[in-house]
Amino acid sequence: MAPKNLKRIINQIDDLPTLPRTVLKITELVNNPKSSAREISSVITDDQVLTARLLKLVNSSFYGFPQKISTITGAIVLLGFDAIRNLLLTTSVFDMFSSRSRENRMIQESFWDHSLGCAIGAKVIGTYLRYEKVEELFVSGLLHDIGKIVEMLFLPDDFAEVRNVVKIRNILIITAEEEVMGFTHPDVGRLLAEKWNLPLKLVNILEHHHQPEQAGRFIQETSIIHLADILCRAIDLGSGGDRKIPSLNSEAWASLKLKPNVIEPILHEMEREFQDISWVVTGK
Amino acid sequence: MGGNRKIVMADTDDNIDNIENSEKSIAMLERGYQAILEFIDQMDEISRLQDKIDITANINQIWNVFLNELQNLIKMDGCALFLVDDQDHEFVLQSASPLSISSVCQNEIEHQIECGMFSWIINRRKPALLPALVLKSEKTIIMLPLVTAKHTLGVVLIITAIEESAITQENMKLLAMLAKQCSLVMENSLLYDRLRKDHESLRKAQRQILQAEKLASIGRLTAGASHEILNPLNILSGYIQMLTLQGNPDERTARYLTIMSEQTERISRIVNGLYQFSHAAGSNMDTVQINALLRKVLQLFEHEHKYDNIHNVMNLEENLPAIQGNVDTLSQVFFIMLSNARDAMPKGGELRISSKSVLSENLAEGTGIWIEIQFRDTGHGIPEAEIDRIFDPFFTTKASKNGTGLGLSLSYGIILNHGGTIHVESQVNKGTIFTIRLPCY
Repeated sequence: MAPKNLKRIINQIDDLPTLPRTVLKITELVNNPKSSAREISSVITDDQVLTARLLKLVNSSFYGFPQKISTITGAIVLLGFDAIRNLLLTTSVFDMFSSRSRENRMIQESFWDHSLGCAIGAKVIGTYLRYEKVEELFVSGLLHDIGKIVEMLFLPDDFAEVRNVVKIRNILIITAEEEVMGFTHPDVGRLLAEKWNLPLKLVNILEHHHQPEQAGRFIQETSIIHLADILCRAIDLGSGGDRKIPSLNSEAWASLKLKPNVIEPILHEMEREFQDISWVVTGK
Repeated sequence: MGGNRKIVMADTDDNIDNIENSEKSIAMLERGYQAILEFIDQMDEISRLQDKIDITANINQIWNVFLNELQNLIKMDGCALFLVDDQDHEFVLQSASPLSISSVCQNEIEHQIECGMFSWIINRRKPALLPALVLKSEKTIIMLPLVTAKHTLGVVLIITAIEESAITQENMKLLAMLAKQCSLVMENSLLYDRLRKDHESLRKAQRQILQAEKLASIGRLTAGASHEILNPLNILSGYIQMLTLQGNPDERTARYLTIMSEQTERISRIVNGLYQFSHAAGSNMDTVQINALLRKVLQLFEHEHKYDNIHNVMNLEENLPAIQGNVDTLSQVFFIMLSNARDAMPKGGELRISSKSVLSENLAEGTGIWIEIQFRDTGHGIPEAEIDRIFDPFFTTKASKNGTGLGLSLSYGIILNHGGTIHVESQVNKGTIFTIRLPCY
């Protein structure tokens, strides 16, 4: 990555949206092991909209909870503190980037569909692998291409050029980014994640989802996102901004220890859950 | 965090405000830092739990260690452990502390299963707090699934008066870690236990195969030999009879002839024994009333040996079901049992003979009703070193005059042919118990 270009992003980064105060506050609270469910719930319930969103999400088929959860405290003690933080992140990320630009609306929506598809894919794969924190995978999937959104909103000219190159030469968007700007959406994603004080795991996943073998001890999580990214392109959930499917990294595949015959059921499950959940998260 | 950045960008008017804010932030971070250190300490302690438990410990011993730890971790009114049953895969109450909460916990779990909450929590594999359904409303219950990567072992139910909103992240995390440790240790112990049982049953099977192999090879050997011996023996006993019938032998000759006749009889008995041994018994299966047969054999035996100073005690369960068996061979077994008992008590003693029906739940034996016959003597017993060999052919402890060394191995074969088992327990100078079990089909 050319230093000049990286600097350009950093210069712009103070203009980037920040996470809502509520989410920052919750992150701080969750970082303290002594925080009680009451403290966290009182911060959330201060925000009526967030409360409603969160309750809608925990009662959605994403959790398949057998009974209605009617209080935030109930949700926290049932789902766990980390899960709630990740859910808040999920809902607020959607808010932050929606309806900013009218002209980009179409592509933005298909980006979000792709992100949501990847999030669901990550959750489904995680469930197959009996991964412990599926909410974390979900958020990672949702955010994996956030760099593209940032480019679109904050570097519109460069991004238009990238899109153009992709269209003419039919190459991967990441290749075009490298050529046009000298940096890629994983680079931007990493910077944003760091700025938002997201956990190290998320930062690594965002940065390495095209080369999971470089993600060090987070290789399994990163590989899950990597695979989910590929799978939701295969079943056409949204668009990643190009018409090519990135190739499956062999080390990533090996690290997952999945049998090839589970891919089919995973794809079916992804399609089913996508229908179920897209309205809950996007509020459409 | 947010505060620090603001200072850099702030206007001078806001400075004082901001300094106050950042001081608050710093204090909060400081507290968070302390809390994390404390948390790490506790984590460290939990991670060392494994050292306290030996792999050979059973589930209850393991549970006691963890229960102790749980009680240190969270203030609780009670705690119950449910484990998944191997056979029907249900959650079975294993332990409750205090015991008085057993039925409440059982009830609570049943309700939670019914409303779907239970399986949700088990599938999620994480501790969860939930409103109690059966217990009083001011109580909260915590469910800790005990799961490993491959197995669901069970669930811990904790009843606490702590309000759900007072639960901290630390509580949840430590409970989760403890549950994980507990699952791992329990799984290890269960695997170890299963391995030990498998190993034992394999060894038992190996012993049986060895025994069967011995019998088979002896059988092949004797089948031919016994036939060869019986032919000249018949000729011999024919001539003895002829001599007895011819003329009037004097007293001395008559006595010799009687001895010769008796001894050829004896040879014939031994060789017949060998022959039977080599041929599978059970060709003529009949309905056999065990009690009647026992009485008949005992009567014959007593008649023959009424001079023995042995007290027989019969304790037969009435109305036993009949079994399918061969009357001849079974009588032979009983006869062998009786004569062995007598030989074991040269100075007299007591022989208790009992029969009863038992319900076997042992899958290896086959479930169903079995008849158990016991011969319990007060004789000299069998030394431990020899007990493994007593069913071996030609193994005998008796003086050469009495024993052929075939009785018990013959019995072993006959009982095996009836689908039954024969088993011996013995203590030197106390006595011996032979237990025969025959299946009722």
